[in-house]
Formats: sequence, structure tokens, C-alpha cells
Amino acid sequence: MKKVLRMVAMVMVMLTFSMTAFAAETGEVTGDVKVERSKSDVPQPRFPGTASIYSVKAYAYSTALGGYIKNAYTYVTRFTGQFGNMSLNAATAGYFHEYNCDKLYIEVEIDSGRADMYEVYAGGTLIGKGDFGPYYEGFTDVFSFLVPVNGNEANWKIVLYDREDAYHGVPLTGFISVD
Amino acid sequence: MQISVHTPRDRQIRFSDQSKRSMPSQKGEMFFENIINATEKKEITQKQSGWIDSCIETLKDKDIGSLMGGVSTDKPLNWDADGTSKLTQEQIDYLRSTYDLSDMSKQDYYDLMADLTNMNAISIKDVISQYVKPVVPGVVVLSASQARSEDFGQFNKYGNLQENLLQYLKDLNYMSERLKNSHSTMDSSTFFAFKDYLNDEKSLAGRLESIFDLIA
Repeated sequence: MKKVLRMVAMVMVMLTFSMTAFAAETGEVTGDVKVERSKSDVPQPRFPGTASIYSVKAYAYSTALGGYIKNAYTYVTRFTGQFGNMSLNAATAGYFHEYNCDKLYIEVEIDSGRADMYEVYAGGTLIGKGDFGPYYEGFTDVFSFLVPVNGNEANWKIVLYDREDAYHGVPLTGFISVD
Repeated sequence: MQISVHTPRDRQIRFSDQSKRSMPSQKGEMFFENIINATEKKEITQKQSGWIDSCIETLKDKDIGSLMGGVSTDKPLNWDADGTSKLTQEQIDYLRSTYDLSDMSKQDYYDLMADLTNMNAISIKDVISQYVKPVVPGVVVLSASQARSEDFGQFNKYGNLQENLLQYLKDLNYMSERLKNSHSTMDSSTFFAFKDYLNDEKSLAGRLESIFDLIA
């Protein structure tokens, strides 16, 4: 019995030590230590309904080459709200056709509206999902991924969720025309 | 609160959020790096390094002037260059007298790359990988307090080559820092593939920087 109790005590000591060490490294307050937090350390309320698209950048991607062509891109900014529709400029479309590209590599910069979870769809298929950490003032999120082009059209969607507020998904959608 | 991280082959790991910060933190990154199966990491690395060989094979017989921004390719690239030679003093003098790194055009830059491959001071991979970029699998999510410049990574277009390259290195370091302190979770294979991609880019920029320092 004593042996068991000693082992349990040892495990407790080890757990306490590892948690304290981890907390100390990441700036967590432990015991009586008072650490003043800056404003950016305080998670802010979440309002995914206010999410919006800042910009979308698109490059031509060729599966045959195994990469995207960096020399030309289409960059559109100042979208109004949750729709990011656009057309490729002549240079990007030129590369797309010249190198028989079949996808677009896009970078979507958004204000996540302080959502805490995301899903990403490319051409209607779910290609990734994950959690946002605490929201920090002044930060935006940049999503980078491939979107297939079918019939000279590509579409993507980022759906934002807030677990604490009815769990409704807020979609940010984009349509890219390749002509 | 719990945080989940997706590993290759759809394994998922959950643990309590002791730190009140989202993972991966620096410590978390090390933790996950250790638990990812070594074979899986090897597979990712092999996939990443293999793409450039097939890309070069595809481009070898084409006129790649347009890929590089509509330049003339009268001066041919050496497609067999592996970048194993060091520049001689004579070559450095020639390059110094031929190129003004503080005021380069796209054509100047292509010609410089052609000369450097013919001197075998850089590899053909170093050249092609500036114009065709691999994409890591999945979705990369980075939080940023400052927008990436619209021209991110276009250091080889025109202007002051050394200044442009320095800016690119700064941008890459900023992205590495954002990845390390990422506010969001992403698939772990995507996370490490993107980390490797940034390291490859830094390594390439470093190689070019050391050559440009010699001929500036």
C-alpha cells in the first residue's frame, strides 16, 4: 500500500513540475506571481457575423510542373463583405493557358470576425479545417490553398464558426473567372 | 478547453489548453515534431524535393523566357548546372563589370542567372525554383499583424537586387515567426511541410545573397 501511495505522490510531483514549467515558458501566471498582461493578450469577444474578406491573390498552378508560376498573379483587394468574386488578369490567365494549368493557388486574407473554428472548401470539397486561437487585436488571417478550375471557373469557400454562439457557420465565398 | 492537432494519416491528438495559447507553441512544436512518425516525415520531405526534378524535365525543352517575365533567352541556361563551383576572381571581375546590382532589369537578372549557371556557381534548381513554386498539401493558415507585401518574393524583377533580396529574407523570417506562434491549428503535415518550404526559401535566398555580395 505504501509503495502505491509513494508512486502516486511521485506522479503528482512530476505532473505539477511539468505543468509549472510549461506555464512559465508561455507567460502563464502561477502562484502569487503577478504578471501584467498587455491588451493583446486578452482574448476578445467573438463576432463571426462581422467576418469579411480583405484581399485575394491568385496564381496559375500546373499539376504537370508541380508548382505555381510566381511571375504573375492577380491581386484584388477592398472587397465589400463576404463575397470575393474576381477575374484573372491577362498576365495570370496567359500563364494559365500557356502552361496548361489546371488549378489556382490562392491566398485569401480575411478578418475572421473572431470566429473560433474554420472549414475550407475548394471546388465544393472540404480540404481543411481547424481552430483559431484566441483573437488578438490587429491580426488578420491568411489562408493559402489550391482550388481546381473547371470550365474556366474556380470557387472557394471559408466557413467560420463560433462554438459559443449557436454554432452558425458564416461563409466567405469566392468565385474566380479564368478567361 | 481542448486543442486538437491532426497528424498525417488522420490521427488526432487532444490535450488540455494549459497555456491559454493556441498550439503549436515553440514547445508544442518540438513535442509534435517528436511524435510524428519518422517515416511519415521522410515521405513528406521526399515529395517536396522530388517536384523540382520533374519540373525541370518538363521545362527543359521549352522557351522559358515568358516564364521569367518575357525575357530573351539568347544567352542559354546551363540545364546541367549543380552549383558546385566557386567563382574565380576572373569571373567575379567579369560579373562586376557586366551587371549593376543596384539597378537591374528583368533581362539583366535572367542574363545573370544564365552566366551563373554556366559558371556552375548556382544550380539550375536554384534558378527554376525562383519562378515555379511548390505548394504544400492542405490549407496553410497564418495570422499576421502586417500584410505581406503585394509583391512578396518578387525580388528578381527589377531594381536594387540586394535590397530586394534583403526584404525577402525579412519577410520569410516574419512568416517563420508567425508560423511558430500560430494562432490557429492546421494539419500537422501541412505545418511541417510549410516550415520546410520556408527554410528552403531562406536557404536559396542565402546562397544568392552570398554570391551577390561577391559581385556587388
